[in-house]
Amino acid sequence: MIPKKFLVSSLLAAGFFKPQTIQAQLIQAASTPIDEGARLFQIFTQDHPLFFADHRSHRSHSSHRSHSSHRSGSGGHYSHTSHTSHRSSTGGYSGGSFYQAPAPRPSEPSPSSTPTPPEDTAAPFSTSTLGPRSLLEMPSSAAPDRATPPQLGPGAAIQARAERFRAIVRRVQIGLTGQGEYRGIIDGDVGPATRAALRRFQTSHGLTVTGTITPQVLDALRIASN
Amino acid sequence: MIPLSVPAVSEATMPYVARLRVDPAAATDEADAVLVVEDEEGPSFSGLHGLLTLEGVCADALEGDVMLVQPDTGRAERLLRHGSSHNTLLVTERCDQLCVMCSQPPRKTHVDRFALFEQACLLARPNIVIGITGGEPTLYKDDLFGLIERVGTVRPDIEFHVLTNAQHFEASDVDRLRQDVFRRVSWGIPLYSNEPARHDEIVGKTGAFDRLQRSFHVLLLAGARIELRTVLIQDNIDHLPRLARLVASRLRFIESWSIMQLEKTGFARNRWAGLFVDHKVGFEPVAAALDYALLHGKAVHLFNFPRCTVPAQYRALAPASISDWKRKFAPACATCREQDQCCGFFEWHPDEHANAWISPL
Ligand code: SF4
Repeated sequence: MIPKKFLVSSLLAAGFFKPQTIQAQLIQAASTPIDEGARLFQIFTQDHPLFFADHRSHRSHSSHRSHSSHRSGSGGHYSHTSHTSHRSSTGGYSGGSFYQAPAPRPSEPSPSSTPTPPEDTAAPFSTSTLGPRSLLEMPSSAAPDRATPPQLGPGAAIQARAERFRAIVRRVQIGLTGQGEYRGIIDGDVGPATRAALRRFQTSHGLTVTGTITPQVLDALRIASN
Repeated sequence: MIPLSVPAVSEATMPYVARLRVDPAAATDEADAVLVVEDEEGPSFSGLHGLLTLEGVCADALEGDVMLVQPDTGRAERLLRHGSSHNTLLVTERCDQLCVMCSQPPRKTHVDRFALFEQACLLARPNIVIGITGGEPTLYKDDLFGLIERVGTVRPDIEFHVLTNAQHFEASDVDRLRQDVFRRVSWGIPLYSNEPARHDEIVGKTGAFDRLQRSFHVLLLAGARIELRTVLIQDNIDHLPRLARLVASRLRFIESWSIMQLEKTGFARNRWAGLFVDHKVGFEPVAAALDYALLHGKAVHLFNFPRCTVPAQYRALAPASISDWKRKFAPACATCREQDQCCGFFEWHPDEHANAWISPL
């Protein structure tokens, strides 16, 4: 369950990299894990997505919002074809305009392109002083407490799905802990304690108070930044 | 087949509507949820209702889709797919008819999702037609009219197409239906025979034909737009030319007439042998009906008629009518040059039947 990519645009916001370079490299790294340089880069981006910049000035701004090229260019893949109870009579005739998976944007490097070693970007990563070491070294996903490998079958699929969800919730809980708003266990569940912590955090940061993991919260915690 | 619903994990406890945005810059509404992360299994989004993890679909394929997230079932329904012109809201599964060939047999239970559907409609991309279906939508006439009125007022660019058995329109509805918003609504209404008893038999309800005439009266007074629908089965194929006379003479106010081939699902799956009419070997009644309707200036279409099974002179009346998400072509279609104009087959149509039936153009 290793993320292919994380939207780490807070790094960009912090002014560390030229956006075109990192975007291109992120995609190449994500899509060609065989290459050693790319793999290193990928490992790094996956394991250290949390940055608790103390500097408010690092808040990302809308000029850095558009990072759509972080997306994979792999078109629409569907492994699930279940359909719902939509009535299956024919829809009204509407001229036969049919759905097509959106074409990759021109700016996206093709997945088969040769990755460029991330020379100028690796250095700031490895010498990062962005936040407390302990937090930077926190595992990004559930590796430590995932004791048993998932079993086969539908139950396992549900479990795996929930695990991907919980991995993100854990990041949020860790972030809230770092902000002094959460004292509970890092369990990946959005329970009452996590909701209360979210509300406190949202209140103290002047965000919309919802008690949920909103884009504002992710942005403020530097987990994924829009 | 395009999946209309995907497995989902969310932090919400109640169903909610969200529009998915891969590009955060496109998020303009508080109901927009933006992409957080994507891996091989699928993307995760975050919005006002919190985190949402989906599976088995790429984020790109979901851009702009309006989703109904259902924590109870662990799924998210793609209510309005951004790239599609075939979006349909199923407002109830209850129905007061029981058609012999029903493609989606009704259920007794009703889950009221009108408020969620209304939110979804308000998030729709500009200038689309939203289908409303069931079950029988007019069993909840007040909710339905309310949704159309409110959405239609805020979003004058949106049109609705409502599939209804038209058993519930009353004289008291005329004023309401005369409002401007209803100019942008067309009602798809089934009529299976010119003979009342035969129609009643097919829809499984005594008096249905007469009640339908009463509703036609109401809709005529309201100036409503009507698309008449006739599914062909063995029970009504021979009535078709006479039905054409009824349509062309007494139902002149209808906007168009759709003659539809059977869909092998629902009740028709097990009753196929007793219902299906091969129009390829016996096109005469269909031709006679088309000729009469066209001669009298009625717009008429053949829905779900694969092009190559229709005589060349009538092919122009057979559009690519099957909704994108459930449309397929048979293996033997591979060499056909008219695929893009052809309805093809329903996803659940047996390939063996299709292969033996068609003759690529
Ligand atoms: S061969 Fe297939 S695609 Fe061509 S007209 Fe016949 S059904 Fe349609």
